[in-house]
Amino acid sequence: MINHVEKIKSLWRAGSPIAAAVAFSWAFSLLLSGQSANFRGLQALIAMSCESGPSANAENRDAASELRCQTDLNLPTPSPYQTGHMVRDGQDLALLIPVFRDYLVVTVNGVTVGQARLNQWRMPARLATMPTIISLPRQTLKPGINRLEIEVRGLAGREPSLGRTYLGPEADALAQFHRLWFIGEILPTLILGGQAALALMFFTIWNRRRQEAALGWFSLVLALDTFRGSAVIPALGAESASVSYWSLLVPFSSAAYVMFARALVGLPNTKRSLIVWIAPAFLSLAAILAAPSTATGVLMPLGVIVIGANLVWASIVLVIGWRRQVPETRLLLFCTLLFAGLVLHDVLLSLRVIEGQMAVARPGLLVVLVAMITLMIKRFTGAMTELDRTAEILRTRTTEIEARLTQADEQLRAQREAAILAQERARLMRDLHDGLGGEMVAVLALAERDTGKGPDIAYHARAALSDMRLIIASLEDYGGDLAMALGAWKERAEPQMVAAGLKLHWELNDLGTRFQFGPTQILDILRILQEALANVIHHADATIITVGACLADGELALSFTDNGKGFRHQVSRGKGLTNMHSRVANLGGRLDIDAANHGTSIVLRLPV
Amino acid sequence: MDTLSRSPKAQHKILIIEDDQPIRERLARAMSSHSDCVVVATGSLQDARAAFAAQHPDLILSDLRLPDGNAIDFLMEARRAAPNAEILVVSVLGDENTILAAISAGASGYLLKDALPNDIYATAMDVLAGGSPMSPSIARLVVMHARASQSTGSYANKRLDLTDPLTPREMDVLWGIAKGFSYAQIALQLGMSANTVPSHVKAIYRKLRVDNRSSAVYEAVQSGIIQL
Repeated sequence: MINHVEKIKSLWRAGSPIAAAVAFSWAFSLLLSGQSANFRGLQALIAMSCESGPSANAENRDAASELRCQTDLNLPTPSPYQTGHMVRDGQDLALLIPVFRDYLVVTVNGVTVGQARLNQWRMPARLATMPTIISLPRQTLKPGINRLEIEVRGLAGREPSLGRTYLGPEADALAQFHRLWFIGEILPTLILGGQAALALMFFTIWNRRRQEAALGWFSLVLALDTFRGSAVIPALGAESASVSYWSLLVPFSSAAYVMFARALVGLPNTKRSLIVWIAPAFLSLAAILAAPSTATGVLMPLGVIVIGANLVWASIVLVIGWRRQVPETRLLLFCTLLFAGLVLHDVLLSLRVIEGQMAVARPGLLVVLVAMITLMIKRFTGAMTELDRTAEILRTRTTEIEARLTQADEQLRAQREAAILAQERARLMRDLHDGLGGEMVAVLALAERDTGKGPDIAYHARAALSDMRLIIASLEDYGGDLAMALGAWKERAEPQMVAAGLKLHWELNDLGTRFQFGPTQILDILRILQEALANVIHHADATIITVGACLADGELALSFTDNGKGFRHQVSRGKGLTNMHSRVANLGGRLDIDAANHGTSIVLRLPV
Repeated sequence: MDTLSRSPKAQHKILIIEDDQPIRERLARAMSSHSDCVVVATGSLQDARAAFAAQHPDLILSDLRLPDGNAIDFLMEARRAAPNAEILVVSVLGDENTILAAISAGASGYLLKDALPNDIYATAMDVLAGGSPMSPSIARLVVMHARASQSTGSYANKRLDLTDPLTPREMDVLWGIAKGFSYAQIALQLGMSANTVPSHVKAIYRKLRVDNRSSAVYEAVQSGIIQL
């Protein structure tokens, strides 16, 4: 994955020079073909005399002038179709007129053979050129001298003009016409489609990522240009026969281009940057209010000046960006200048300062698009690289944090284990000391006396053993179920009761599993029972013991009842009672002792 | 080999294996004081093997840890040789490990070493009468084990072998025993006849008894995980 990205990156690191080379060669070839006078098989009609005069057309008062050009064609005898370097056998002659403005009529020997209008192709821009081809039917031609006249009229406010005109066999003329047609009409249409797509794409990106203001502005540039160039627009009815209102979008488009450059370089978008819109707005307002002749004659050149000025402005902004080392501004500057050069060419062509075959600014727009696409792809790959790096960093950090957490976890676990161990040790020591220790000391003391204390020794040894079993029993796994712990105690205690002639009634209710007792609590409970049992065995003269457990009033009640002679006669073993109370305190419960003549009832109550 | 009592009316042949002499004598006295018992008491496995071959006892009372090894192997062999012989294991504390080992050896229960003579005799007679006594400790061990293996779905910490899974009814019986209830109380609570409880207990013992050396407890004892 990373290898792939590296490859793309290295390919596009050389992207700017490649894009610049493509843009340059495209602009250069456009200029070349726009200027080329080499029309194979066609002859330029250089000896054409032109004079301009007032329009003869009375209907069109706005038409300032008319251009009449004429030349004599010397066709060889007897037949122009059989001999002559210019005409091949059996072919018609045709005129190829690459540049003219705006309307022309061709007559041969006084017979009108054809006419052409620039705006019949719905070309909205007055800077655009469109070639036209006019056949000279053989019936109109005669051997010898033929007079060829071309009348050119401009639209309202526009000087009529006629570029270099070519004559030749129709097939050759048609071939050259197709070439010019492709560059002048087909390519701009294709570019229009591309513009529309890119405009949508950039708008979508900007819409999701408003921080990419440059993309938003460029999307506006493309959108305005697309609307202006859209072949659909004349059909909307806004296009007057004499004024190309849609061309007014171009100054706006160029202003948006300035804003794009500013955003790309990172200049702030302040109120002062609204200045850029003043000139286009003024032009639009004037064009709508002014008469068609003024609109075309004065405002159109003004519009061209505004466009040029904006291009220069954008270039200056891009130079600033270059100084600030904003990536890709060099490529954009280069392409902007190339495009400005193409526009300049068209202006000069339109002013007839230079002679050429077509306007090249519209197909030349591709230059700027190449730069923009390059820019986009570089940004995309840059973002991908950044993403990869971020992912890599994140992965590394995650690994580090995981390692740290694991370490912390292990430390924590070790600490917890140590704490539990210490707690258990303390508990076991206390338990052994409380029960077993005391009994063993008693056994020792009795054994040392050695004066027939056998039964006493047996008593204490048995108590020690039984306490040890209680400790062990408390450590076993009851799953927190007190009833099972009580069952285990019963197993231990029943032989003692039987030996003492006691009968046990075991009355456990269902205690459920809401109680979760730990070993400490279980040992305390079992010792309380054991203590109570010891009391009964040795002091109560009872015959029946009833052990019961039930849940009542949110408490667990554990009862131990005998039918002996009552507690008040058993006070001799005060230590046992003290032990019982301290254990009850440990458990957070309370002990109710009800001693009557017919027996004692001990009830241990534990909060749930 | 001490032969402490020989009664012409003897019905029960009892083999006692216990290395500590006072305890051995105490156990033997507890049994031989009743005229229906013939007791052979030994202090080592070697003697025990010989006595077993000669006597064909009905009941073996055996400590698990003996000077010449632990008794589990011998008890298994004995069980295989005489399937009808009953076994009670003698233990100081009656702790979990001892109970596990006793079950593994095919014992019907255990006796505490300091049990009163009457208890010792009563327990032995109970076993010999086929009363299938089961102590709360054994029941609890089995219940806890079965519950753990149900909740985890596997015997993660396998210490008890069961030839077949326990039925819910058998689990109920075990719960009752573990909580200290008598068979009669359990029968009442579960709504079954008093005779049904012992037959459930017998079935449980059958499922617990794995008389082979691949059982988990046997392996745990051999490998020292369970120290007797």
